[in-house]
Amino acid sequence: MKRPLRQFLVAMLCLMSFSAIGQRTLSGKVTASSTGETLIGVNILIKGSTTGTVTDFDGNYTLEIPSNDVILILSYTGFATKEVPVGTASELDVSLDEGSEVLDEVLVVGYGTQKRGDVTTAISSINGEDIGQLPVASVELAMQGRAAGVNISSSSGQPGAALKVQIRGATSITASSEPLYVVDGIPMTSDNNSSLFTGGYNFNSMADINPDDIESIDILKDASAAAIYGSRGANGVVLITTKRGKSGKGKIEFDTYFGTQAPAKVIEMMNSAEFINMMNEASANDGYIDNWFSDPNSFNFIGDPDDPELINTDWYDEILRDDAPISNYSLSASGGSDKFSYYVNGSYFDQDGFQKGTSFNRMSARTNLDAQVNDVLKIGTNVMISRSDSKSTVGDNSLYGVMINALAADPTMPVQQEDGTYSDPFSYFSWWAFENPRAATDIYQRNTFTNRFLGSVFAELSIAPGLKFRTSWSADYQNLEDQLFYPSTTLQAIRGGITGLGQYASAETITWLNENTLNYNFDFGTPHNLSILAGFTMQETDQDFVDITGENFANDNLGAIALAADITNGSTQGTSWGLISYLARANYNFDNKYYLTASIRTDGSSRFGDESRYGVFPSVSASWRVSSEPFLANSDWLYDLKLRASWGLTGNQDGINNFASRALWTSAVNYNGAAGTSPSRMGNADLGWESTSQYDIGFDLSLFDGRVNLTVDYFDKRTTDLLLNSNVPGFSGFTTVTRNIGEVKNVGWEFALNTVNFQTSGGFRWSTNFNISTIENEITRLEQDGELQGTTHILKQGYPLGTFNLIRWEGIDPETGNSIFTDTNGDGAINSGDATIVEENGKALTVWPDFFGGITNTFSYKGFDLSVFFQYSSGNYLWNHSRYAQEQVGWSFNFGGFFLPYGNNTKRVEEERWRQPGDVTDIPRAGLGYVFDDDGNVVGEYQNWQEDSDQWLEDASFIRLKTLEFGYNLPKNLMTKIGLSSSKVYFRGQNLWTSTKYLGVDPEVSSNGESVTRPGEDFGGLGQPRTLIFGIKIGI
Amino acid sequence: MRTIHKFKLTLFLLGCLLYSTSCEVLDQSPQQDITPDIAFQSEKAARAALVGLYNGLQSGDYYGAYFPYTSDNYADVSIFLGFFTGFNEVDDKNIPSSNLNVELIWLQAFETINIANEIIDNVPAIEENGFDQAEKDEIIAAAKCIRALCYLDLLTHYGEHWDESSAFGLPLITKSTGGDFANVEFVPRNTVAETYDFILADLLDAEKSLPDSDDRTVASLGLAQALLARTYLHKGEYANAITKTTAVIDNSNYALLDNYADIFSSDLSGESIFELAYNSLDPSDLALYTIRRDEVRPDPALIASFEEGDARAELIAPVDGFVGDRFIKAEDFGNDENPAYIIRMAEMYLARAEAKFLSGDTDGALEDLNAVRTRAGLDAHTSSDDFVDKLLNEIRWEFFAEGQRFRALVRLGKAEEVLGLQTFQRIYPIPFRELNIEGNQMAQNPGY
Repeated sequence: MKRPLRQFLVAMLCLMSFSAIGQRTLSGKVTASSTGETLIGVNILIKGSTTGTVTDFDGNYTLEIPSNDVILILSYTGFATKEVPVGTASELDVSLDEGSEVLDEVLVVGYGTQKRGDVTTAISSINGEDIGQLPVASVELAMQGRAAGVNISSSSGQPGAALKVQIRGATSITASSEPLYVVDGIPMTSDNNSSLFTGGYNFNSMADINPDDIESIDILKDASAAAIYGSRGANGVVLITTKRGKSGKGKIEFDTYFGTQAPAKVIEMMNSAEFINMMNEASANDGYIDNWFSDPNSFNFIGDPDDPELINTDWYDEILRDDAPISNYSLSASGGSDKFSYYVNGSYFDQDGFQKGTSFNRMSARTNLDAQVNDVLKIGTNVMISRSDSKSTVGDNSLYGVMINALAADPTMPVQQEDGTYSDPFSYFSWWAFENPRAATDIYQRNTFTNRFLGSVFAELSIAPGLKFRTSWSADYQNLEDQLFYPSTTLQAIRGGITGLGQYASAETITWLNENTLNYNFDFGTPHNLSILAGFTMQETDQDFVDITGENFANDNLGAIALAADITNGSTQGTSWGLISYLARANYNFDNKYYLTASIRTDGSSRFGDESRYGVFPSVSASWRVSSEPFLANSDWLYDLKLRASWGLTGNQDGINNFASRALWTSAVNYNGAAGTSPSRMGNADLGWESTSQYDIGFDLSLFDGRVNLTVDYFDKRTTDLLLNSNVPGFSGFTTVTRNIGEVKNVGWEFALNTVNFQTSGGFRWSTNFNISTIENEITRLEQDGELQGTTHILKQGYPLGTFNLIRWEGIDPETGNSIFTDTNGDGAINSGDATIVEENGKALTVWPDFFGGITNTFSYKGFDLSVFFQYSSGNYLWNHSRYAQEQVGWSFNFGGFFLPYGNNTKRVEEERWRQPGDVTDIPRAGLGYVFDDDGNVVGEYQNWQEDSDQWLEDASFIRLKTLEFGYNLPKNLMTKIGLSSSKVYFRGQNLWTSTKYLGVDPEVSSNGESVTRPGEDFGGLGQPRTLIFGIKIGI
Repeated sequence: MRTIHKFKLTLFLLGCLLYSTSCEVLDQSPQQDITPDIAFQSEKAARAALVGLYNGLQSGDYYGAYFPYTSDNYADVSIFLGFFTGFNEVDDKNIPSSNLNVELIWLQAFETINIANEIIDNVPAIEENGFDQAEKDEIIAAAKCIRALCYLDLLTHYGEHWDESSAFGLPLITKSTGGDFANVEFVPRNTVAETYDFILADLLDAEKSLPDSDDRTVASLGLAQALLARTYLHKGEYANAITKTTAVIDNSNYALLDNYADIFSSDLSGESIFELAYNSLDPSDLALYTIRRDEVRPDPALIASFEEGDARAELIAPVDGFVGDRFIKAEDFGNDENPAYIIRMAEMYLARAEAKFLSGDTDGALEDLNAVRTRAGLDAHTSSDDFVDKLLNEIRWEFFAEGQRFRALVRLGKAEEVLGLQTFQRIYPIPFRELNIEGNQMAQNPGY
């Protein structure tokens, strides 16, 4: 470790002995070559330095230049970047040609930037303008459907919930398959640090970032791009760049939007009369009387279906709202001079969930400053602070959860009793309801407060022409606080025999990061271009957790943990890890025709075992601009064609426990009041990173002066040394050891097509962005082949992650109305032993789509613009656990003589269920599940109820109108009169329309969060909201 | 130029700072956990490991719920009404090798055995003033006693314990691994005879060094002898079983209480030879399944089987807030502080009855049986006709929700007849996970 560092420092010091030469002043004017108009705000930079300026309102500039041999680089949005040698001139006018924006677009590539035209790797970019004002809490939600190869799904509509983000497929079984997020160079903590049980979703640390602040998102997809992030790059890297001030007149912008959200779909349920009639029918079907549940003298009396006073509660209506407000206010100021620039933003985002009792709000502020201290030194800072409050009820999957209980709630149960108390579901007619759903939304209190600080200071030193040293010191600090209080009136308290339950938990995470890089642009004179980057970085993360639970509170309104009469549990925990890295990259191109990039990173991580502490991650990529070859150079339709190929090695170490490699004993055990110790982890000194080798071939094609741009990539991504909690024989005293074992493969195609379809001189413009991707996932090697994941999934070699393994349902016997299941193993019983992998046309069904993507059409005319964005996904399956509960009509629970149905039943059951011989349907006959004698005594049982079968496995392909926006830019002259520089008003709709065969609320939900081993299960999931907003953007 | 020199200095200082910091970044240590060497560095540490051993028994996967309830659900003692496939499959008397309960019990028992192994191997090497050989021997004896308890539980549920010539015993792990994967040896199953020998050797060692104490929450001489009795009974060494049961019955630390309900109305009654203590900070899952989750219920056939006037039937009764009867062998099931009853005096009497009967002493057998029976308020049996059925009935009534009925039925050759099981179903399958581990030599039980 010592030697590389020393060499690095020596090299650094040697390079500094270069020095600068004399100076003089240069001035001139910049114009557009086509029209001769002066251009305001053109960026002018002395090549190989950070010295530069911008043109003023008249297109003029002045610049101190060090010598005669300098070359100026002029860049301006919508124009081709131009390099002009200065020579001896003291005045220099330049005219710029309008050109492709695409090729000159600057991409952030990890420890640097590159022009799109020079990039040799697969990178998708999203412009901040496209996502800044979307009515969503976090940036990943805004990225959905916008980049090829990036599959993002929203597990839960809970405001502030984490999303499942996969770039080029899931690579890992136990470690994370989520990408690395890097904000202005700082790798973000993106884990869920909340201690609250949430069931189907996780809290999202990325929601601390305000999407308004984002200038651009660059997604490093192939290994060559991501290898510079070494042992954290295997799942791709999302580089988020925030806005910075630009030289020129100061701008003040005020953006706001406000609107409402509603559930996009609500499952229709039976009313009480239908419910009682169905129960009667069940009794009659089982050979007993047909008015058992409506006869007032009967033991099983529920109600009279014809009674006009019959209580009829629509539980979904009770817990959901279709006017949940959402709003955002953002005020920013930016600007600067040639020496100093600033961007300052303050924002407030406030979202109530469409499920009552949930909300998310966030206050955030950001200051980004850049200052040119003198000729050689530039310094700057990025600082973000935010505070968010996420309010939730009881988690999706919890016994006491809102949606789960609404699945089962009895329609004849009133919300409240006459005395105002919430009705107790145990006094009504459903089996597994644990709580009154309205009580769950109203009186269960859970808040998670997060304070986040993300900041860095940096200095850039121009040591010599072309040679730059940069150092930055950054911190990512998150302080998260959970407060939970279930007052004495909650059933969780009542049934636990306590007067209230409280929890206080906190998690403090601090990461510090130091990065030092040296950049050298060699200037051989054309046609050779070479730049080299070398760097050294280190970072350390410390986490501290506190978790206290208490019981018995005197007051139902105050739930602070200090007021608990009994503290039942109190624990603290702490953990840490560190990473030291050396990195280097060289970019070479010959005549802007042949490009070669190579990079290498060495990561040492404290997480790895003693035997494999350092990992090396090389990559290489090349591209050939075919269009610059003489045989194509004169083509009038071909604008640009570049062929690319890359290979690289990346790693994954996220998701491994910080001390997974070491044998450990915990001291958190006790017996009979004495504290003890016990082995807690089996050690493995060989433990290392997951290794992903990926090659990518592709091309970028641009036609008709850049009006048609097509990018095509094929990738083959093989992950080996999978970090697995590999089973060890039980007699070892442990269940698992973390080992590098197992292999996963992802291959796929990505197409992105951006076109300007129609453009008139009158100002009408129609453009389309389209992307489509395929990813095929396969587990190629497993140690424990065929390991079941719960009762619905399996991990099996030759099959994708998340493969469904289910009992096979053959349908409903039209004669009896009973479900028929396949006794696969022929043992005469239907049980988990009959489950098999569900395949169709030789392909295992999973939640992973065959293809997915998005299409945006944008129309603009004068000040109007209309943008229509569809997201789609095809061939993805979901196991509808909600229907498993709600369409179960062949069984009841014999509760001491009462027959309680399994769950509340859907309207679909009312309309579709089997009623008489000959009915062909997919819902069995109503039944209580018992055989009765003439007096209603149970004399037998039958099995007609639900199994973990493919009866509930549904095609969840969808196409969704994700965003529809109609905006109007108020005329400039009008604005000038009232003192504004710009103003825009817009309407925007989110998730307005979805076409899917899926019968649940939303084809994207998952009850298992971001899990890749049990994905695609929907048990009381909350879908994404349908949102309508009105927004105003004012610039001063 | 001069500015540049200043920066050189700054860079140099920065370099020094980086250099000094970087050495520490990779050197992280856990804050909550300790390394295996620290786990045995003192007497205090050794006693803490012993606490960890009892904590292993306490797990919800073992005596904290799954072990007794799975066994009783498999037999005709309790039924399961709930979602858990693991319990439902047991309840249906059709246990696939993938069954979760069978897996969790297996793993937890071996986890406990492993802690015992660490103690047995590491305690002798501890050098500390005042930590003398006798103290070390006592700790090691406790570890051996608990290791034997676990092995016997495993043998009577996963091994062909009725047949000493069978190859389907258990893998006997005699060496600690220090928690290092590199030290794990993939051994095959030992024979049933070897397994019995191993258990008996442990218990005989334990008997030598354990104190004759009335602390019922930890291993004692009484526990070692009671377990010896239980082992001899299963193995068919009836004379030895009689000797050991008699030793315990004659031990003044223990007594058959006059009133059955008193055993459960307070902790640590004189009836208990070994019970696991729980408290609110260290709760058990026992009442979770019987009351709060409301899923492990008395088998209606068990309720129907009680004879009129049996005081034991009163511990199956309605509970506030629930319809129907529940197991209430508990002082207060709301607080999860109820102990797990592992071995108590009534078992000694019934074991001696069984051993006497099977070695020909029918009068003595009847006397011991009646001691338990009359305590429950029933009339004494006067005839030894159908003695085995009578004995099994007492076991069912006496030990419901304590997980004793199933292995007694198997031991006495009645499992097929009473429970309708096929012959191979007299034991659980070896968990599928074990067979699916590369290199593991574990053989499945015949028939599964």
